[in-house]
Amino acid sequence: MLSTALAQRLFSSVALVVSVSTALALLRAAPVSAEALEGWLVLMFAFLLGALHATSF
Amino acid sequence: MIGKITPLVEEAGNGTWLRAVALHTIGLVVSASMLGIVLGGIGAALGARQWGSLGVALWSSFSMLCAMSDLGLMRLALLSRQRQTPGSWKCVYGAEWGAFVWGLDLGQGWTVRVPFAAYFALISWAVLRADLVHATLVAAVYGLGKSLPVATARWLPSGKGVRGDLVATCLNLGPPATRIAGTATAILAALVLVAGFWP
Repeated sequence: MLSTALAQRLFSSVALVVSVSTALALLRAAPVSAEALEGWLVLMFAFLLGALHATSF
Repeated sequence: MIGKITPLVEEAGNGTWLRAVALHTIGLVVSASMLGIVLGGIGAALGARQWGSLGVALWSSFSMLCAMSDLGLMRLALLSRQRQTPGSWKCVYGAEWGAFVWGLDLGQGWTVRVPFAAYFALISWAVLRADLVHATLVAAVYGLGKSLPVATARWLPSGKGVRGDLVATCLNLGPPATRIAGTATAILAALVLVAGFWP
């Protein structure tokens, strides 16, 4: 049996690898320039982070 | 802030709540924009824009460390103050202007407890990008994002207790929020790395 902590780490590792792989695949297939995509992604990231920060106290 | 501003709906009515939310949002955006200007200015002073691929590599590596920390894969010591914005400001400045001052405080991010390392990835991006407009815009959007849960919490179902306390408890995502922040940081770090080296 996996311990909870180990299971969480395993899940996080898999989620990380899958997320990054998907993101890289999307970037290569995206019809916009990498710079424009980066700009939009950073804005979305900032918004998400702000919302998460407001819900973590 | 959800626990302080959302109960205004019942305590003082819709008008007061709306003005408090609007002023809180303005405070957040103005304060975060100021932070963005300072960070972009620091980056420009350091000449970070000339670093090119080195800057991209530095930011991506640091952000990936932040992501791994938030995902619980390693432990990164956070430079975080163990402080919360004073609840007493509501008494000092009133419900509406108190919300504005809370916004000014929280918009900075670093003045209160920072729950995840992803925040530092955002801060370092604003510095390494060394562009005042970009840094200000991104920081302002960060502030705007902070207002979203506060502005929408009133529509979440309330129970028998005080609405704000219940909603605040429901919305306190805690560890899941940290995991989401970590995943988003990892994705962004990988994308910026790819975009920086293979434009």
